[in-house]
Amino acid sequence: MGRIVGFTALRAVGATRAVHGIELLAPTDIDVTPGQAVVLRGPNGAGKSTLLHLLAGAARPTSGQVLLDDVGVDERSPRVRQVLATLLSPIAGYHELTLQDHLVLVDQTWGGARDTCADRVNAMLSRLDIELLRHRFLHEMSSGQRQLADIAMTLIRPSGVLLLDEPEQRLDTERRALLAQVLMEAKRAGAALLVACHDETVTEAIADDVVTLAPVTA
Amino acid sequence: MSDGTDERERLYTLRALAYGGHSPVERMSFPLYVVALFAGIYGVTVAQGVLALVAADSTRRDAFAAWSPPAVGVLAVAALLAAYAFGRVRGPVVPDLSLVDLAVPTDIQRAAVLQPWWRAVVLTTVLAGGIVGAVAGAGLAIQDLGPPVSPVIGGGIGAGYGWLLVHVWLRGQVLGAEDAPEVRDVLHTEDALCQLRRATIRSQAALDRAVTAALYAGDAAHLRREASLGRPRARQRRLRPAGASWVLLRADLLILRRAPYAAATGLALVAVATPVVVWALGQEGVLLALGVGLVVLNAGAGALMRGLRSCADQVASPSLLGMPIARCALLHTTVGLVPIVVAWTASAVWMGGGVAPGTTALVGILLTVIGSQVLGAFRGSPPTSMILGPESGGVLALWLILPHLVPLCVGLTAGGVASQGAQPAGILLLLGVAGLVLGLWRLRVNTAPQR
Repeated sequence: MGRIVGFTALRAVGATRAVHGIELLAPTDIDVTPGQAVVLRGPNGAGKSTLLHLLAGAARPTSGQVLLDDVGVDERSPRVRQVLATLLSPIAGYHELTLQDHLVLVDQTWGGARDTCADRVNAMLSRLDIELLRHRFLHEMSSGQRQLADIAMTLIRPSGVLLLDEPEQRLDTERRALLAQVLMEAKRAGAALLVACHDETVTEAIADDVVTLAPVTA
Repeated sequence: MSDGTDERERLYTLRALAYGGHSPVERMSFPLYVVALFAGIYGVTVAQGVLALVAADSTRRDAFAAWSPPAVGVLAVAALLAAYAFGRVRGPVVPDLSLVDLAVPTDIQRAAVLQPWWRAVVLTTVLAGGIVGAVAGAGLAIQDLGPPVSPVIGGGIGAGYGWLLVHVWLRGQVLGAEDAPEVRDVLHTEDALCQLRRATIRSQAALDRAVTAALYAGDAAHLRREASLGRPRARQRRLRPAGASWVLLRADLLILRRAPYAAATGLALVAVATPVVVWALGQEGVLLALGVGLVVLNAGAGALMRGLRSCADQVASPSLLGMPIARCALLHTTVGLVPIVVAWTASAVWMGGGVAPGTTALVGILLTVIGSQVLGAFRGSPPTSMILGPESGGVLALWLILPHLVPLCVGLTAGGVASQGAQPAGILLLLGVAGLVLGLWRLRVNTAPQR
């Protein structure tokens, strides 16, 4: 897990999202503080991914507000990017770079010290039990391996909040348990977690609070 | 078990169900007729116009007579090699996906199932070769660079070459697959068709469909990902830590090391186009040379900037890298700009050009290339209204070639200024800034949070 970036609170206040008059997210309030894990649940189409996109500043709420330390969230803001590490969709990555290359690239562009970069990369590969994948190109991995690679790229950078959309997807039972452990370690280190998750075991292991989104009716 | 008559009936039924009984050859006939018509009207005009430059004086005629046969020979061999290599990715025999699932797995002999598509592509290639040959021959005859029967000879040679090309292409498709047969097993075309594996045909048909869909949607990024050719090489090379900006530049160099063909193509195009541009800037009345030179230069730089396009493919999700997307994009252009500067300096020294106006023009061209490449990478999809209208085909084509129009327009405008006897450096700089602003504007639009 990368260095923890300090923040006070990430909040959604009455946030809604509608596109072309179609409601994607009913008014929602949510509040996450350092060291807290909130799991989002709800049926398909309830707006979990939409809410995560709003909290990441990748989309704007149609009404209501999304605030990081009382300032509106916009992904283009350097402060927002520093605090929020997101895994909302598969990472496109670079076709000609291996997983290890990607981890070095992410670590270095986020300001990691050069002399200890290899240690952080090795530790991340080891923690997620994907050392065998270090010299594979992303397109050479199975879907489950790819999910672990994406998680590694998300966790290695410094952050204060982890916004993860169904990180347990495509992982086998053993890897889901490993994921839960890794997320618990991040939480103990002081990171906040906001995770959309359908897996009972992972939810039980990490959640301080479970928010269930009701299906959008309109 | 099936006999020949039974197979023919079943195949006819399949075609009748899929295409109302029309064979692929019948479906190709109208587009071929249109192409032949346009080639006759416009192709001959263009060919004789280009060859008029050669026919203008005896020195050029002599050089043309001496150099054109080996040059055409080299190009012909290169095209055969390219066709063989391309067959591995997309061969000539690619029926519609539904037919691949319906007809190919049946017990009908594979060659018989695939023959209609094979015949259609042979006909298309032979006719296309014949048309190109006849058009070139007509241009030669009109400019008195060849005998009056040149169109007939050219048409015959072109058709023959087309036949050869499509057969080499088919062998590439068969021999490029995993667990490929021996060369001696595919010498006869029917044997080659029988050796085609269903998995190969299906994956190529799926790729074909995805690329077509991306083309119809004007989605250049999807098109690029789907058509991404080649397996990365030099796996044993590692990206070393180097700080935020330098690591990105190192990554770009590593990407080129792992994509050697793209790197070689890019460097070759830059090496060829830069002296042309430098030369054209010092001439009057070479409006076209500057425009075409800049387009080729831009294409060469683009082949080197693979990292820029990967960076643009990530705009759908929040930032992976710890820097603003604009900075990331601009850093990724460095790998394409450095060879231009090197080639420019070498060309200027070689031709003895002035340094001060040369520098201004160089900066203008670099800005044009950056703007064009950033525009190309971040242009996004065209607005829905544009792809639903009656003129959607033209609009989509324009959308896809938009980034190449930037250097063309800049080059033609600067060439126009030069043809009036004025210095084109200033206008190049001005247009370069405009191109950069255009590219950065699209980047900003496409990376803004969704409203």
